[in-house]
Amino acid sequence: MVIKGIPGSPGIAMAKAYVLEQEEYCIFRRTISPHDVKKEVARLRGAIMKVKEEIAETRERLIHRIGKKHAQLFDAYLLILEDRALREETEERIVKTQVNAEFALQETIDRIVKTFSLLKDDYLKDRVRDIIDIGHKIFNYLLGRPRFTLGDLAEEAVIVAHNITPADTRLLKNKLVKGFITDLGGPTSHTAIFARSLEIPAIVGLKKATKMIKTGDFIILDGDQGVIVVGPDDVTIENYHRQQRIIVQEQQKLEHLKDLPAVTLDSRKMDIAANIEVPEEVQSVLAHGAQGIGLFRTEYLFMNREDLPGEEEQFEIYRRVAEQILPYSMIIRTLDLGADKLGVDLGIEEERNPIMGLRAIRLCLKYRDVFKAQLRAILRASVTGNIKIMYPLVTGVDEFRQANAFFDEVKSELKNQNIPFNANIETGVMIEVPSAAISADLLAREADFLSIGTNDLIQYTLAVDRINENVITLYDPLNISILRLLRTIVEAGHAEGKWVGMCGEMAADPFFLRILVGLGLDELSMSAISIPRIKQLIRSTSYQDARAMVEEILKATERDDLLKILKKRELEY
Amino acid sequence: MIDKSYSLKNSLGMHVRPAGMLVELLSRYKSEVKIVYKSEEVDARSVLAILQLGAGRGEELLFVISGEDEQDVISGLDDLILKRTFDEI
Repeated sequence: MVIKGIPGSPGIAMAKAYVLEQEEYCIFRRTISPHDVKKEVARLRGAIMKVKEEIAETRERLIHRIGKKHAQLFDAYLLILEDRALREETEERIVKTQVNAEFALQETIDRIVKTFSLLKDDYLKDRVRDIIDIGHKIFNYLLGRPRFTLGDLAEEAVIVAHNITPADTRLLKNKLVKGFITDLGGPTSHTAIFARSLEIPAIVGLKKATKMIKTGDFIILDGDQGVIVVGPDDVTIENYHRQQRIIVQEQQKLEHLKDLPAVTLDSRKMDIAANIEVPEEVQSVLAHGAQGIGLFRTEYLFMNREDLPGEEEQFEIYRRVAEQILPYSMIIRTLDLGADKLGVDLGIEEERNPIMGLRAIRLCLKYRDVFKAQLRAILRASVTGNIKIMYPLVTGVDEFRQANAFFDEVKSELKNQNIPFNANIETGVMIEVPSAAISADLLAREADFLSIGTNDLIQYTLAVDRINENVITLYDPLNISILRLLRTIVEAGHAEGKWVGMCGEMAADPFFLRILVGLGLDELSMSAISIPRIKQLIRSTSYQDARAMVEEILKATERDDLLKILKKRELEY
Repeated sequence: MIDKSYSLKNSLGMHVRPAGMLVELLSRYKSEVKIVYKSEEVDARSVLAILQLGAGRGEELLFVISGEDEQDVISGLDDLILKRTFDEI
């Protein structure tokens, strides 16, 4: 049987399936007789005790495996379980209203959840999820079906679940978990992003996977194609084994490059950094030999939720990543989203063309509270690591100045409050709108660095929507106008003594690498997985030759000429 | 019965960890301890009840203590909240 879904994270996994039960309960109210009250209270206490034991055990095991810091979630769980309010209130309900333990517990949890959701503090609001999780665990024991925890996994498995919540994903950092499959979710869902950051293959949006796959079924998960083969025949298994071997061999070949610098044959040094979306990716970033984070996309913090992340929550995340990446630096890009992707309603009517609408720096300059929380969090974190900041979608100097003026306001506010921050934090600008590219010389005077976002720059310059199949072939990084723009930007930056980087997908494509070297880019930032390959290419490229090649191709007038020159040069190589 | 008010100087205010430390501290004493904050009164020995106050950094909490060892409770609270600021720096 073959099932198709949405590719969530690339790679191939072959293992037995483990289907996580859907956590749905039907709690009935049952009136109990007065002499059963004691028995019901004892049942509740017994269940709480069991969950306590289970959690304490998982906690121990996790401390062992991933360190004390990460086991903090379980400390919170234990505190809640041991809490008087939860137990006493539920017992009181059982005694006073003579109902079964399940119903009494549900009522207590409902009340607690309601009170918590009224709180202003985002972090505390998030505790609601912990309380619900705890409730589920107690219900499981009360209903006589202890839930499997991933810490108990005895052999390699592909996890099949209806949905994987952020709380679950912490448990999924288990070496025995070879892949995820979920009924819900799309390519940007939490599951997909998390799986990519852990480099575990995943397929999402399968709708009915949990109904079609049974625990123990042997399955092949092809994360590149978004295909699951349940009970494959020997030939299929052998084919996938071969593919897997090739991937592993490629990776091993590149492994030794990890600690080597990215220098050209003629000793020009480049910085190779990584793009990240979630804090969990830092380990993979370091493992692939990145020299820092060239783009921390903060959008993910704002998506798939019904509120905005507060200053504290953001601060904690920025601080943690900055610390982990030391001695390297991290560039945080401020919010690059449109209002449609935010959980809260800002009262903006639906936009007909959101790509050119109120988003990114425009949104931030209009809704200053949102911007301020992020800027404060970044500044506060700036004392713990080497943090730089850059603004997305800036169209020119005026906008850059507006953003900086506000940034200065936020800085003085912190100063007045005696909150420490790095007053010399480097502030850069993303060059991704043609107008910014054209005025790159003006921007370079005021910014500390320029980082080219090729995805949008190409899309806006060539007026091509890169997810529209009718015009996708027109999306061309080798378009002569694009190459000329790139040269303009790099030269503008260098004329002012500023470094120029690139953080779009073009930076990770081996095909363009020699052009980028020849253009004189100082930094390339890409997904961690691409780093070893790009590093290898840089180490086998001569900067002088690449420069000469770029000179030559920039004289071309049409694409065919350009390709001919490129081909000839590649052959000479 | 005695009462004393404390302002929260630790970075996150009354969050899970500090609340847990408080409950753990109070488990050593016999006195009844209540926290009064913005016209709400809760049991100081319940983490959930304390968290529900949503008291952030800089807020004032009034502790109302009654029992034979109430003086000891005050010195315990002084140590945890004023001196050690919940072991945060």
